[in-house]
Order: sequence, then structure tokens, then C-alpha cells
Amino acid sequence: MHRNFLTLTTLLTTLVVANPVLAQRSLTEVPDTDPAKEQASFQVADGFEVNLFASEPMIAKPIQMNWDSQGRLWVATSETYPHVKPGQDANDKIILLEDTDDDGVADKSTVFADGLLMPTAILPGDGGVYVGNSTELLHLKDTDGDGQSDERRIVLSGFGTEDTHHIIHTLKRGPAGHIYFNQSIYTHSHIETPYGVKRLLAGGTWKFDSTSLELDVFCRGLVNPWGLAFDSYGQAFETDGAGGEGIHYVFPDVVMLTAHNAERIVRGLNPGQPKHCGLEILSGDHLPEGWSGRFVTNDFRGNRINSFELSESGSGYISRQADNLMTSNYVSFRPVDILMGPDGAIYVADWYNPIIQHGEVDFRDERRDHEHGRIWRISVKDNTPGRQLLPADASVTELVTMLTSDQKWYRDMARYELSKADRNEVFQAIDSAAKANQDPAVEAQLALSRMWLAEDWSGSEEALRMAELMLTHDDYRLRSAAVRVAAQWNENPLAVGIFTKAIADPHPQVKLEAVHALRHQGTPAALKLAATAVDPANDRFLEFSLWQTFRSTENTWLPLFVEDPSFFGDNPRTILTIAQASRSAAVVAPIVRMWEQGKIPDNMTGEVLQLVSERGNVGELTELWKLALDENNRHRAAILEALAQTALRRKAQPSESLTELIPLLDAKNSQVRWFATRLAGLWKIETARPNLKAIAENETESDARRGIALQSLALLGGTDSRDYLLAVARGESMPKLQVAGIEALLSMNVKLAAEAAVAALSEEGSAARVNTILGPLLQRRDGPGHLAQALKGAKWPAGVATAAVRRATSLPQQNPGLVAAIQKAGGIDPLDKELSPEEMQQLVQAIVKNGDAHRGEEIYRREKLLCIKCHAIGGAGGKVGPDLSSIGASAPVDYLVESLINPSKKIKEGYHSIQVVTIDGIVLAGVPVLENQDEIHLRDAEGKIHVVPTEDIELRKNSTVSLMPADLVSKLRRDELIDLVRFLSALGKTGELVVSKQQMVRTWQVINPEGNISGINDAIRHTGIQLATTDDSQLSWTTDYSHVDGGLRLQPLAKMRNIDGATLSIARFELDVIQPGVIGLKIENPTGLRIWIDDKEVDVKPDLNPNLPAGKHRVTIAADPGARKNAPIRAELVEVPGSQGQATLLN
Amino acid sequence: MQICELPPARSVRLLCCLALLSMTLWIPRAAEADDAHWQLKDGDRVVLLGSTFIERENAHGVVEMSLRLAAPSVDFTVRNLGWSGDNVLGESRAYFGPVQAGYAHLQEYVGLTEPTVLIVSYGHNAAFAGEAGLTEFLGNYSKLLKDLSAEGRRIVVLGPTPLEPVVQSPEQVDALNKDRRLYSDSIRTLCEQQNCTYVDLLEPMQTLRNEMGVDRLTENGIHLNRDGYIAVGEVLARSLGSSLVRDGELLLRDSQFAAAAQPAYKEILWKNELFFHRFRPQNETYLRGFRKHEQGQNAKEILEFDPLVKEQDQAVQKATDDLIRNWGETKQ
Repeated sequence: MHRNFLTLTTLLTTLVVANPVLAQRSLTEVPDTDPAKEQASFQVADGFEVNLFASEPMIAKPIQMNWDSQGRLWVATSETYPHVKPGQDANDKIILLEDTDDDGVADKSTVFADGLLMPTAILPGDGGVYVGNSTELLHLKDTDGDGQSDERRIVLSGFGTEDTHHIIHTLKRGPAGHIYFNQSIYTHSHIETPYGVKRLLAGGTWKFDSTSLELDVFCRGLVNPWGLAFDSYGQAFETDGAGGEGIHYVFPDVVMLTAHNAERIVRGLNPGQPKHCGLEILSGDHLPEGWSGRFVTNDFRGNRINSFELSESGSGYISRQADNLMTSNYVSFRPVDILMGPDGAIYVADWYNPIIQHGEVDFRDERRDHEHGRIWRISVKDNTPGRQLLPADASVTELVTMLTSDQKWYRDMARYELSKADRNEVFQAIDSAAKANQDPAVEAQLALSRMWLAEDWSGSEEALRMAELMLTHDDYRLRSAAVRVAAQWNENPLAVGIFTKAIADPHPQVKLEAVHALRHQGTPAALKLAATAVDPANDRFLEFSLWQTFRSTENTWLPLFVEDPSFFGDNPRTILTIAQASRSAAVVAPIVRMWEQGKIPDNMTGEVLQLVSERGNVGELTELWKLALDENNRHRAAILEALAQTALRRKAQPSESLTELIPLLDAKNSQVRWFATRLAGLWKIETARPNLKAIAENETESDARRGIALQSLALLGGTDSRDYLLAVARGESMPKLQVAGIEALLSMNVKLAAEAAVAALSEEGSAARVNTILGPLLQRRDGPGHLAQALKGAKWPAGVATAAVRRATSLPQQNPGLVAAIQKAGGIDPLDKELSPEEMQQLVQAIVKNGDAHRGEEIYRREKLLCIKCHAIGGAGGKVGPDLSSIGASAPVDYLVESLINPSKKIKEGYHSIQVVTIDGIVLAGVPVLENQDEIHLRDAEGKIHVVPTEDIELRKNSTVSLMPADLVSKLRRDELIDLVRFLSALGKTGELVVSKQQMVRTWQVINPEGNISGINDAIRHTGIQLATTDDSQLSWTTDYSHVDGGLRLQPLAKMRNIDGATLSIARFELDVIQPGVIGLKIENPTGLRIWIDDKEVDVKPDLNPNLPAGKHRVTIAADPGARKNAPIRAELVEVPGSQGQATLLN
Repeated sequence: MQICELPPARSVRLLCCLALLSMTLWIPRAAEADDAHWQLKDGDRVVLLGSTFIERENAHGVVEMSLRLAAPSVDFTVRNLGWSGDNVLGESRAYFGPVQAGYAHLQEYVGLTEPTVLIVSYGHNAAFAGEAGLTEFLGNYSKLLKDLSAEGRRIVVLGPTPLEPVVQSPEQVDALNKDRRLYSDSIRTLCEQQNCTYVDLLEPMQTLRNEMGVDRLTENGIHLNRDGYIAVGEVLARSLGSSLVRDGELLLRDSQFAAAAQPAYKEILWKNELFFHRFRPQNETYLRGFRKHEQGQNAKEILEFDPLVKEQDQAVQKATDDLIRNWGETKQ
């Protein structure tokens, strides 16, 4: 029975008494506020235990916390969040918590300051405490010693508050005493300093010197980065509360996800992770084995604390998820900040709230908690350090000893305390400690602190002298830190000497720091030095930094390069890389000259042509065209392709001998013929008309080239083309090309194409063609109108109409007229999308009570439902919509139901689509994944990226419509919907529906079950199973995903029969070896499996652990479903103790 | 002596003021009409527009207090449209839009607040660009002043405030102040051309700093401390033909007066806070921005501040009237 579930719920609800108000409909889910009950839900990692450090009434709604050197915990809290009420006197507080008897429980709570408006950031310092307070950074001070703030100074002001969960936050002290803090995507800040105005639009990290009052943007981007931590060597890392890439390596000037006006971005270290809030790097010998050095961060939606292990990789790091520090199923447990304390325990600020959505849930929703909040203390079992000497009470000598502590807390606090002491005394104490020491790790920490203190005191000579000395250190991390310090004084001759040495350093991270310094120096000599670091083997971080360098300094180097193309030396790779980084067309001429002179090797020809195609002037294009006329030119096809791209993207073309294209239509080389067919239309070669018709009509030609010929005819225009294409579009001639004919006709006459489309879709069984036919039509600004018109009086099969409605409702602009016309043509009922509060209540109850998450997962995976095509779980799946890994833990059930029925009502930040209309009348809708002054990259509902040059955009507006089609679930039975929502609401919440921390293979290539199975089976049987390890074109592959539990189910896979006497299903995946060596590959239950790594079959065992060289490798698995009793395939990347090998999965 | 037992109805208040005037307390020593460059009138709506200098007055209330003391018999209201880091293009007000959106926002809020007196102060930030940026700045400022002018509206332009050597060397600050001098003079010329009242702050504030015997008028070299705002208040009072100097001291620095003025300051600051939420509501993205489909239902709350601000205007007027009256009594 396929009844619309909404109708059913309407019927059902007439039977129940309707009472609860909308806001309370899920109140049954709000857990008990008793801290003991919450604590009982906690599962901590082995070797740890958890206790309540503080809760209400001592504290409510904690947001950020930081320690002072007396071991007191300062907490910024807000009961006003998310939004002040009219007339309400916001009275948010700064709370000071103390554990005076060292029993691990706070026994004293002081309101240090009140009357604040959403203080989201806190850092003790300079005799008081810095507080981020909406538009301002304040400094609050207690001048009379009564424990309460009596002096309030605005330090900086002008921070944006367009979104109160994006306002300035995460105040942290950097290694040299600078204050760092973050702002998020919707924030626009305009700050006056004694040196002028600094602006930061969208997300980024500020760096502030509270002595000199210099304020700089340290890096830009990230959606909502509430985690920031510095490691022992001064490198910074961040986490994103609305991103999904785990730990981010944050180096100076890096540009990340959603940065304003970004041209390129650097991705995080753990793509496919849930959102994270807070970040701490654990340290201390007292921690259980393996935990020191780990990064811990809060999956606040999944009510758990994740941990990650980072290892160095090139100039950056790779990060692997490790054990969870703590998990819970308590919906209100919302860990938002995490810090180690002076007692070596880990403190977690628990925002305590069943509701965490900011925009998506009404600000005034009664379920929002404004009263509770906890600080949890996770300590090492049997570790009771008792009273410690605290930095505030320590002498200079004692503080210097603390600089070598195994706990970073003491090192950082001691350095801060020392920064207030007498410089000479401090340096002397450090120097004598260093002299007495034998341990290189201790020596390194002393040297770093000495250098950072010198930097803090702005003692440029002293700091630079230290930096110079450190540059000879064996440990690259110290050399990197030295270069970063020197970059503060990049005009100083000492610093310049440091950069010269550092750019030639064997370690890429030192180079990365040097590139940053040289970019800021910005002189021709500095840029020449930076150019020496260009290397195709560079990793993504270094490569980005170099690109950024040559991009931002173009005004300096370009005139010098144009005058002397050997300005950057004679390495063609270097020169091309630099030219590509510029925006200018002036680089084209010198590059083409070098190419013609044979100074650029063949394997870089594509890049040269690309440059000409993107930027070349008419003269340069003509020069290129003339080269293509020589039939012996081996780059002929590539040149034509470049010219076609030029004509398409820039509407530019050569100025001479265009008709000489005609003979190329019959060239021997098929690629030459192909691009010539395209160019005949793009260049409007009227004399090619008969040739194009001949190609279109030639049944021995490929359909694709025939389609191109039709498009070229359309470009030639005129009534001849129109009538010709009309006949094709109507199916009167060349019926095989009907769809291509409709599309070609569309560019000439939308009305006729719409009529032809309506006719073509009137046939039974044409539902599969709906998207190909209507896609291009509905993309045109006037397409929907013409289609609605053409549908008058038409009859469509119901299947066609259903698919067409789906397409029409996901358009950027709602077209009720068109939808009605389609429904009328197909005789299908209009949708009733709104649920009454009572219906919702009924449904929510049924989901909680009767839903089956496992059945739900199968429904989720149905191809027709499209869920998996657009959404990923644990990184496996489409990228169009948000990753759903922990959606169940963060979103109330009613929210999920509403999002399914009416996706446009709740759209997550970062997934708002925009609509652009190009000057050619094409309407595109998608989520902007990159946007800058030159172009917008839009990811459309199909997951395809469109690059739209800004100058081609006629109209751009924000779309209020979700890319998610509105009626996806309307065809589900009620019980199916209940199971589906149950599955979604369990995601990230319970055992097997939590994406595990292991690096499971989740994205697979499998034999396409819809391909020519018998043909593929024959090919494999004849050639041998090894064929499946190759890219042989007889085989057709499709992407499949593991279930949430990591297993790839065998049942849906195509079966290849009679292969070496067995029936086998084949699946394969790829991994990228970053560091060669033994790579841990674990296969759970290898029964009935055969496995190949690249083209070599390997012995099957649970631990494969192959020794692999760097680069991409393919693992092919053939499974005998009978022998395995259909057990799913589970493959996992693991660490091999003692191996240098590092690999990541390519998903 | 008994004055004003009744609530300060208009006529009574006038009486009080006359009484006070007769006590000479509020009368400037050289109170000649010629000294007044501009005037405050009953029913005036004074709107302050500019960058951080204006914005932070919100937290002090000193400029408003000074105006009220300098024109003790006048009934007027004050709104603050300052926005940190702003320039004559309204750049800080652009939210998600291009700079032009900021300019539109500026015009919109000047329109909404219906000023009869518009006190504008730009150039503090622009002056960092030195002579090279002057022409562009003046062109844009000229356009802004034209766009802001309206029937029955008086525009008073305040020049940039002086920088002080706090985090920069005296030489660096001298050079920067030279640029500010250049901008000040140019703005003065612009005002003469466009019939706006110009009030120079640069030299008068430096002079006042010496007269007040304080080291600094700024917190950090650029942004005014309380004394800085008191100095601005005095310069403004003088431009109104008045002065708040009493017995050689600035009244607002007098600790007894400051204590007596606490209630009035409190009302002013609360009015400022209420209006701040009306003018720069948090969560703009959700209330009126591109995610208004999520929280647009709560946007009505923004307008709910209007009656609250209006009500608070009366509390401000009453508290300052009380202050003026009572302080006068105390002094008797």
C-alpha cells in the first residue's frame, strides 16, 4: 500500500486529543537535569575517571574557560544566549572557580563580573581578565582586591554580532605572549587600532599584542572555529564547530573553508569528521600510555569527546582518529570547551542543553536551557598530585624549572609569569639551567622559551640572535619556530640571513615558514628566494603558501619577469608555477615564447595551452591557431581543445584563417575531428554547415559527436538550423538523437524546445529521461514558463510527472505554476506539506516507540530516495548536503521530520544555495564552495561543480530554497518514514550507528549492477579475474558505500559466475601512501576473499600489512558470497607499530 | 530655597532653569550669543554619527551630558549611530553586502532616527592614509554631507581627535597628527562650502589637556578616555556659546558632581543600550538577513525596543533636569 503518509497521519490524529503546544512536542526527550544522572551516562577511556568539578548554582551556561597562574579557573557564561529580550538588562557573568582543598571539586565560586552581554571568550592576563563581549574585547580588573571587577576597559571594539554563536571567541595565549582569538563565518569586524583600521570579514583568527596594541589577521576561514591550541613548538591547530574536517593545521596566512573572497582553500586533516568544539593537546607523563600528545576535541552533537593522533607529514601533518576520551548518550551533555588543568586532569565545560541549534530552532523555544551548566573533571585513575607549586607563587628559578615540565600547562604558565619578571634575571636563569642539562628535549624547551620571551619583550636583536642560533638545531620543529620568530622583523638584516638559510632547509616545514616570511618581506630578492622552493613534489601546505606568495606579490615581480623571463631562473616548472599563480595576461607572451623555443618540455604543454586559453589575447590565440594548422604538429588536438575552451569561456577567438578549420573535420585524429566539430559552431563557420549536417546524419559516427554537430548547427543559427533541429527534437528524423536535438534546439528557441520536450516525455517509460531532457530546459531563465505553457492540454505518464515535480521543486526559484501544470498533466495529487502540531506529536511518538533503525538504514540507502547521493555518513556518500554522522545526537526528532518534509525550512550554515543568472540566460543554483572577485564555484544538486566567472553573472541572489528536493519522502509509507527517521535520529547516538573512529574503508568501487553484467562476466571469465584490477573499458564500475557499521554488504553486488570455478562479487578501493613503508591494512574475516594490491594477488590474512611505495594504490577484493555466508566485507587502515609508513583512504 | 516640587512639566522646568540661570551656575562666563556656532532647540533630535570615537561615547554618556549641561533649558533627545572602524562610505555597516550596502544602511538609520541636529565625525581613520588619501576622502565626505542634508536639519561636523604617543614614539605621533591637521583643515573648508558647522577638536583638545593638567586624553593613543570625552564635551559646549568650566575646573571632573550625576548617567547609558539593540541587533543574519526564514518571527522584537527607548528618553530628561536643579541647590 503506497499511500501518502501525510494523509494517513491526518486520519490518525483525528482520533487523539490534541493538546501539546508545538514547542513542547519533544519535551519527553529532555533528560533529567540531575548531574548524578548525567554523570552515570559517561563512559570514560581506560585509565581515566570522571567527577563533577562544578555545576549550578556555582555555574550556569559555561562557554569558554581558562586558567590563571594561581590555578583558578575563569569561566565565561551566558544565560542570555541566544538572543537578548527587549528591555532585558543582560546580566551575563564571569565566574571564578577555585578548588582550595585540592580534592578535585570546586569549593568556591565568585561572580567576578556581571552585566555582560554574551561573553563568549575569556583569558586572564595583564592583571585582570580579557573578555570577548559581543562587539567588544574588554579588560576587566579588580583594583581593590575584593574579588570583583571594578574597572572595565574596552580594548578593541567593532566585532560583528550578526550571529551570536559566531561572535569573537576562543581567546588563547600564543607562545610569545600574543593573544589569539577567533571569529566565525557571519561575523564582519571593523576594528580601529592606533595603527589604523583592521577588517576581517567572515571567519578567521586574530592575533593581538596587548602591549603594542598591534592587531593582525593570523589566518582566515573556517565556518565556526571554537577550538584553538598551540603545540609545544608553537604550531597552531584549530577545530570547527560547523565544518567537518577534524583538526586543521593553521599556519600564518592560511586560507581555509568559507574564508571571505577565497581563491583557494586548504582543507583540514580529517575530512568526514563530525563538527568539533574546543581543542586541547594532552601532555604529561602521568597520562595512561599513548595519551600524551593526543589532541582532544568535543563532538558536542554526538555527546562525546574524540581524540586524534597527529604525525608529521611534509610541511604539515596527518591526523588519525584514536579512542574516544569519553562518550555519553545524555542528550543534554554538550561539551564545548576542554582544557588540561594544573592537577594534570582534563576539564570539560558542559554547556548542558538539549537544544544546540542556533538558527534552526526558535530563539524562544522553551526547550532551550538557560539555567544549567557543568564543569567535568576527567582525571587519571590513582593519580592524586595534591598541592602543587603554582606558577604565581614560584621564584624565577622555580619558573625556569617549570619550563621543562612534562606538562604543557606548567610550561605555558611559567613562560607567562616569567614575561613579567626581570629580563636579565630570566635569561641568566634559563642559561644556567640549559648548561646544567643533558636532555635534548629539555634543552629544546628551554631554548624555545628563551626565544619566545625575547620576542614577547620585542627585543628584536636578542630574539633574532636566538633564532639564528636555533636554525642550526637538529630538530626541524625548532628551526621552524625560529623562522616564525624572525618573520616578526623581516626587514632586519639578521632576519634576512635567517630566511636565506631557511628556504634551503631540508625540512619542508622550515621552508613553509620561510616562504611566509619572504612573502611579507616582498622584495624582488625575497621573491627570487621563495621561487627556489617551488617543487612539484611539494605537499599541499607548502604548495599553497608558494601560490599565495606569487599571487599576492604580482605587482612586484611581474614587470621584472616580463622584461626578463629568466628572472626566476631557467627551471620551466618553477616559471610555469609562478606564472599560473598570477592573474595577469602579461605572463602569456613570455611563456609562449619559451614554449616555442622548446624551453618547456612536452609534459607541460597542456599547462602552457591552458594559460593561453585562459588569458591569451587575440594575437596569441591566432599564433596558436596557426600552429594547429600544421598537420604534423603533435599538439594539434590539445591546441584545438584550448581554443574551444577559450571560445566557450571567454568568447574570444583567433582573427585569421578560420575557414581552414573545415578540412580538420575529416582529420585522421579523432580528437582533432571532435574539437573541430565543436569549433565550427563556436566560431560560427557558416561554410561548415553541410559538413556538420553530414556528421549528424552519419550513423557510423558516435552519438556524442553527432550531438556536438547538432549543437554547432544551433550555434550557426538561422531558420535552416531551427527547422533541421526541430525535426530531430520531434523525433521525426534521427530518433536516436532526439534528446540531443531538444537540447540543441533549446539554445535557439526555448518555446519550440519546450514543446518538443513535452511531446518526448508523453511516452510511457520515458521517466528515466526526465532529468536529461528537462535539466537543460529548466536551467534557462525562461525555461519554466515555456514548459508550463507547453504542458497545457498535454498528458504525461504519472511516473514522468512525479520525476518532473521533483526536478521542478528543487529549482532555485519556486514555480508553483509549473508544478501545478506538471501535476495536471500527470494526473497526480498536489502535496500537502504542512503537518499540524498534533500530527507532528503523533509522528514523533511513533518514531521513538516503533521505529526500527536497521530497516531505516536500508530505506536510507535506497537509490530512488537519493539520500546517499547527496549526504555522507562518516565521509562516505555525496557532498551536496551536510554529513549526517551525528545528526541524531544533535537534532530533535521533530526537526528531522520537518527537514525531510520541508527541506527549505531549516538549512544548515554552509549549505545555503545561491542562484546566479548568467549573461547567457542560464540559471544555476548551488552551494558556493569557493567565491572570490573572479569566480564562484557552485556545487549543484547533482554534486557537480560549476565555475562561473563573476563577469558572466548578471544576477546573483541568495536562494531560500534548499537543494534537497521537497517531495523525496512523500512516496514512503508511514511505517517506512518512521523507520527512516528512527535511523537518522539514532545516527551518532548509539553503538553501531556511531561512525567508528577506525579508518574503515567506506567508499568502494563495485561492478555496476546496471551495466552489461553478462558482457562483463564474459570479459572477466575469458581474460581472467586480474582484469578487475585494471581500468579496462569493458568493465563498468559504480560507487557503493559501506553501511554505518563499516561493512560492505555483499547481497546487492553483481555476481560474476564461473570465475576460476567460483561465483565472485568484486569491490575495490584506493589508498594514497604519503610516506612509504609498511601500511597496516586489516581485513576482518577474510574467509572466501581474494585480494589484489595493484595488480598483484596477495596471500589473504587478517593483517595484510603490505610494504608500499608512495602514491596511489588500488586494493581489489573478490568475495565468494557463498563461502562467506554473505558476511559483509570490512577493511580498515591501521597503524603498524614501528613502521614509518603512512597512508590515507581516498574517498 | 524651594524650586520645583512638581514633576518637571515643561513650564515648571523652564521656571527652574530660569531660576538656575539667575544663580549663574549654568551661565558661561563669556556667554555672548556671538560665540555660539550652533544652537540646540526644544524638541531637537540630536544624532551622533561616526566611527569608534562616536561609538564609545555610548559607554560614557559624557558628550550627551555635556550637551545637556550646556543647554540646560532645552528639551532634546540623543541617538548614537557610531560604528567602529567606519568611514565616509559607511563601510563598517555593510554586513554581508558590498560597501554600498553600508552606505545605504547609514542613510537608512539616519532617516529612521529623524535628526534635526546631526553631529558627524569622520576622518579619524582616513587620516592614516595621509595626503595621498585626502582627495578621495574629501570627495566622499562631500557626497555624504550632501546626502545627509535635509530640510530643517543642522549638521555639525567634528574634526579628528589628536593622537597621543602611548604605543608609538612621539615622532611617529607628531607625523600622524600633522596628517590629522591637514584633514581637519580640509574638512573645515569643506564645511564652509557646504554650510555645515565645523567644530575643530585637534588643537582645542590639546590645549584643554594642558589646562586640565592630565597626561592623556586617550586610552591607547587614539581612543578617548573619560577625560578625553569630557574635553570633547567642553569643546562642544563652547561651540554652543557655553562652557562647563567652574572655578577653573571642568565640572564633569568634579567628584561631587560626578556622584550627583550618577543617576542621570545611568539613565543615559540604559537609553544608549536599548537603542544599541534597536540599531545594531545581534543575530541580524537570522532576524532580517538571509536566514530570516528561520528566526524572522523574532524580528518583531527589534521594533519592540522603539517604545522602550522613547520611554527612556523621558527618564533621561527627568534625571538630567533633577541633576541640574539639585546640583544648583547644593551649590546654594
